[in-house]
Amino acid sequence: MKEPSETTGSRGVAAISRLGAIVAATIVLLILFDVLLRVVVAGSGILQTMVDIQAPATLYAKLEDFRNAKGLKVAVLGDSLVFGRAMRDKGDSGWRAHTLSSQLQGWLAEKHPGQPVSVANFGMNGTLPTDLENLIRIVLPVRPDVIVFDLSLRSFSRDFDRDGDIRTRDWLNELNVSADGTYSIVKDRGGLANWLHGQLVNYWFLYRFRDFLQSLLFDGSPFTFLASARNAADSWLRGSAKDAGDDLGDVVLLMRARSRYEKIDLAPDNPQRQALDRILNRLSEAKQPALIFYATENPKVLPELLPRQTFDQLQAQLAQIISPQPPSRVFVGPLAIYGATDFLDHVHLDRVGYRRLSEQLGPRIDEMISQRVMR
Amino acid sequence: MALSRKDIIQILWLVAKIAVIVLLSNTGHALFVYQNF
Repeated sequence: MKEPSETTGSRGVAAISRLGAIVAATIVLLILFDVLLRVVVAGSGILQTMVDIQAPATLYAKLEDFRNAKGLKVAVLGDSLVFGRAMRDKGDSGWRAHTLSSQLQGWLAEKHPGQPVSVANFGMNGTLPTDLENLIRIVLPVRPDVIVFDLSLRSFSRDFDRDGDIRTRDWLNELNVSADGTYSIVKDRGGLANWLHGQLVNYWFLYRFRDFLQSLLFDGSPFTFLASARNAADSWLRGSAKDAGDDLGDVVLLMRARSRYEKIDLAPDNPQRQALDRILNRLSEAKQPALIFYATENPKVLPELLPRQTFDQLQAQLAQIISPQPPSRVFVGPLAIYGATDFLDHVHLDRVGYRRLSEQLGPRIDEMISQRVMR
Repeated sequence: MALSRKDIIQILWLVAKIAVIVLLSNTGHALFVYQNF
């Protein structure tokens, strides 16, 4: 017969070993689930879906997917014109298939049958040259065949030369992705929390995938989704006149654009001009083929934004800054291919406008790719 | 120590809960979501 103390001791050991087995089984299952998720996500191509990139992990998840892509790789960076979601806001539910990157993808795939083509859209609403500078720093180590990005005079407004307005996304400034694809956040504060976040993003795919999935499902976070659902229900119950609201929104957008265009200059002390200079230097030093195109304004609205003579002078200055062009760089200035009907507002294009734009840019990108192959 | 069938089902359910919490919550809200899941 056993002593009572021995029975208690052996029960304790049994409980601890049972707990250990449960914890170990949970960890093993989480690892298996993570491996499965990686395979399914990579195979589905879901990370190529355009989402509003508002968090570093979202950008990183898309970037790593792009890094692992085979074949021709083109990275399209830029502002809302590149992102293309203005089409959705104007009622185009199939907007994702009509953006510049999607149309370029189709164009290049047709030109290179049998070869995988990956055109990644890293467009983010409102990006400035200071944001692009960071984005190019992050994307450059992936070595795409061509980097495409847009510029607009609006970005050089003095509205964006004050502290707090210089960048639209401070997190882009803090995000660091090393050449081998290791993610880290470089911040003055929150060292331990940032380090932990970095480790989780690097090693736990489920955690890395989170921000992307939330952008895709909720167009933000679950909280913003609920808030916008409440607002939508509110306006539906009130029966508000949606069309009148849209028109008012367009007027406000135009007035804001006009105020920005009044304050444009390309002087060397403009921080946005300085950021552009640094972008051009970085691209030249890396010998990275880059196509820069001007985000052409609606010809009908342009006279309301600034006088033609000023526009021409600024364009000449912009072309001057971007030249002398090294062989790996192409600049496409304002295009005269659009009619006013190709625009949704003063600068955003509709699907036909994007088609015209991709027909202009596609052959140039293709030429850059073939030159690269020849070298 | 061998786990029973019931244990394994409970572990699977726990892993599923962890996955949903990680995917749908923000870090600061994770505990709140867990408590109300």
